[in-house]
Amino acid sequence: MSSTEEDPVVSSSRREAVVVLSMVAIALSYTITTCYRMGYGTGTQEPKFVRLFFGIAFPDWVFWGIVVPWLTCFVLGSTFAFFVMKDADLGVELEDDDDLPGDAPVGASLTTEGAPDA
Amino acid sequence: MPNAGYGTLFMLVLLIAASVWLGTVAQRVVRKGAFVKGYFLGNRGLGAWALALTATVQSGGTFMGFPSMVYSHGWIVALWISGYMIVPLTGFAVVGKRMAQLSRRTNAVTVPDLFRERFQSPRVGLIALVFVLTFMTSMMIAQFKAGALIMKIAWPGSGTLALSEDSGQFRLGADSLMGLRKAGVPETTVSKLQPLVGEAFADKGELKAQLTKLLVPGEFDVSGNKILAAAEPTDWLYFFGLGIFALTVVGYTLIGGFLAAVWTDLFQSVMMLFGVTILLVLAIPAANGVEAATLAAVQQTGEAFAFGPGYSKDGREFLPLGLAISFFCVWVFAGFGSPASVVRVMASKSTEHIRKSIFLLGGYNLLIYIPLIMICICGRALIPDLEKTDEIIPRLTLKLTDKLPGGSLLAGLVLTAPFGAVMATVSGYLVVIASGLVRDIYQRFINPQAGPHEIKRLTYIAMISVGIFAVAMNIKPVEYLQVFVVFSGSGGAVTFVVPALMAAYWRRATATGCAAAMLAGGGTLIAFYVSGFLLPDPMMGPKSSVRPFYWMGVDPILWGLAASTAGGIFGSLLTSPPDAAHVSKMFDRQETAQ
Repeated sequence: MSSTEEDPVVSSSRREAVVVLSMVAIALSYTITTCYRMGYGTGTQEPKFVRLFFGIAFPDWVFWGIVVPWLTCFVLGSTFAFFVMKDADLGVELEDDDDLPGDAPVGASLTTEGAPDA
Repeated sequence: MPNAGYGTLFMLVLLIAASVWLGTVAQRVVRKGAFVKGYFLGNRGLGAWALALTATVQSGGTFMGFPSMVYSHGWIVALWISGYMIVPLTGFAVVGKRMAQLSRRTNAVTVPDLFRERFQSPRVGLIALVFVLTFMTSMMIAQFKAGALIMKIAWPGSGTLALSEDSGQFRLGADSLMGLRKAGVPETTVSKLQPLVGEAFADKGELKAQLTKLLVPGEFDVSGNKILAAAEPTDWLYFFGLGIFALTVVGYTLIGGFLAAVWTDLFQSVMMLFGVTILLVLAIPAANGVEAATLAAVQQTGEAFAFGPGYSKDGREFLPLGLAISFFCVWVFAGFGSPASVVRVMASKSTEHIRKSIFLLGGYNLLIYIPLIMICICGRALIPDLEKTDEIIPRLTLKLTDKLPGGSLLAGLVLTAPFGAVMATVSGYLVVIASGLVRDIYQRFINPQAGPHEIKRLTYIAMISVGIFAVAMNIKPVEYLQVFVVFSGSGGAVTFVVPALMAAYWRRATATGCAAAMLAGGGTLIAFYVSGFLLPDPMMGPKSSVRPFYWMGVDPILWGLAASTAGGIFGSLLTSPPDAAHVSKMFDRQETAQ
């Protein structure tokens, strides 16, 4: 028997996909705008550097346009993965066999409640 | 010319031995369950580390084409690769959970399997299969060549460091001229070649330069390729490398299937991290810091090396604004669109492992790409005017480890990383291609009742046949390796990204819509590549003889994605809605009927 209530994996995944694609749009806009404004069309200008440690340094447009957003994405991405993304049961595999999909009715041996990790 | 030495060969043998051992361990795991799911999907047991470091890492090109680009064009390559900052999230959090769930609900083992069952359409499965085989086979053939070249480099005394596609001693002999006459090259042209007989040329480019001086343009256009082919040497080290590479990679993949591919990939990813860290620690002090290295490189080249759109010897614009936007998207969408990546997400153990892999891959990408850029900038300062720029990592490694105790082994560790990377790429693709042939063609269309033993036997035959085919294609090796890599990556993205989103989230999506999305995306990309081949060089983007047409200055991946989206939406809305009961099975909570 199947109900019409949407599976929690579908709704949480959809929500997460929207957040992630919005983050892609923000990262793309910020990186391209910053790099273009600071790093393109500078003619014969000398590069300016942001100096860090152990001899590590970056041209300023690379630092602000790429390194900083990269670190930000790592921090935000990890936060998103550990605190925002929801764990959900992916369902149980059909009985171990080499049959083609469709040989058994879809969902016939599935459960989404309390199933152990595969 | 510097040589790789015995340390490199030793490390390579060690890597091969480790890979075969991993294959045998994987075999033991596969034996525990049903053959197909175990062999092609690792019994859906991938943990966070295996998922993170093998699903979206573009390992084959990381140590090869990418460093060459940084050396040649400067800091702008950081912007070219910057899309990787968000790849860990997009690779796993956009469709990852849904693909893993759908593959369980449909009992799918392969990507075509999944699309076929999700849309209840053999036609959709077949189209997906054709694209998977097209893009992955072309990529795999190119990677066989890369593997053979690296094996050749590792051979002590080979005198070869580049991954150049044309290195070797080119020589025209009297017999070559005879052969050219027989092949129909006009006598007037052959007679002009007389002064070159017996002369050795380091590479194809050098001989080509001489030919363009001796022959009039029309003559070169007609007979140039035949003359170059006649002068090409028999490169025994290359063939030896090809044989060893093919035996190794087909061997351990055959033994352990999907898990062997994944574990070797994980192993080489860790090795690559070691290699990059060692090189970074050695390169920065040697170049007196990254700032001094950049300024030294700017002195050699010009300010463009430190700015956009990048430095090029011939004045080409490496990364104008349109391409900068495009390439950001290439990595983002290739990350979750490639069939090889989707299969690995399908094989993930649980959502917890998917979440953890976002963190792991984020950290890994940070530690690989930005350091690699700094290393190559230092490389430009330490080894200026490198003729073959793809030599930068091997040459820099040998230079920096030369005086260190155990330097040869250290160099070996760094130099074998690309070999491991290529092995892992090929291994993963072998599994996907073999599963396509056995599961999606034989079991679907020829013998649906095939038993486990027959499937197993056919899988081995398919894998060996694919290996033999790839070796045969590389006896006369394909040119423009990097183009195949980019074409295949972009192809996976434009063909499968929109269908994957439709399959995961759109109830109204239909089989016709999915087929239209795949055909429109893949077709657009192929059309743009064909057009680019026919049109003159626009002097933008990475230099290559086989380049796409950059309509409005934008890479075809964006046009392909737009076409695929339009195809998917209109194709779905113009056809009848899918069966409600089936859609419910794919989207709604399911209870077990007891």
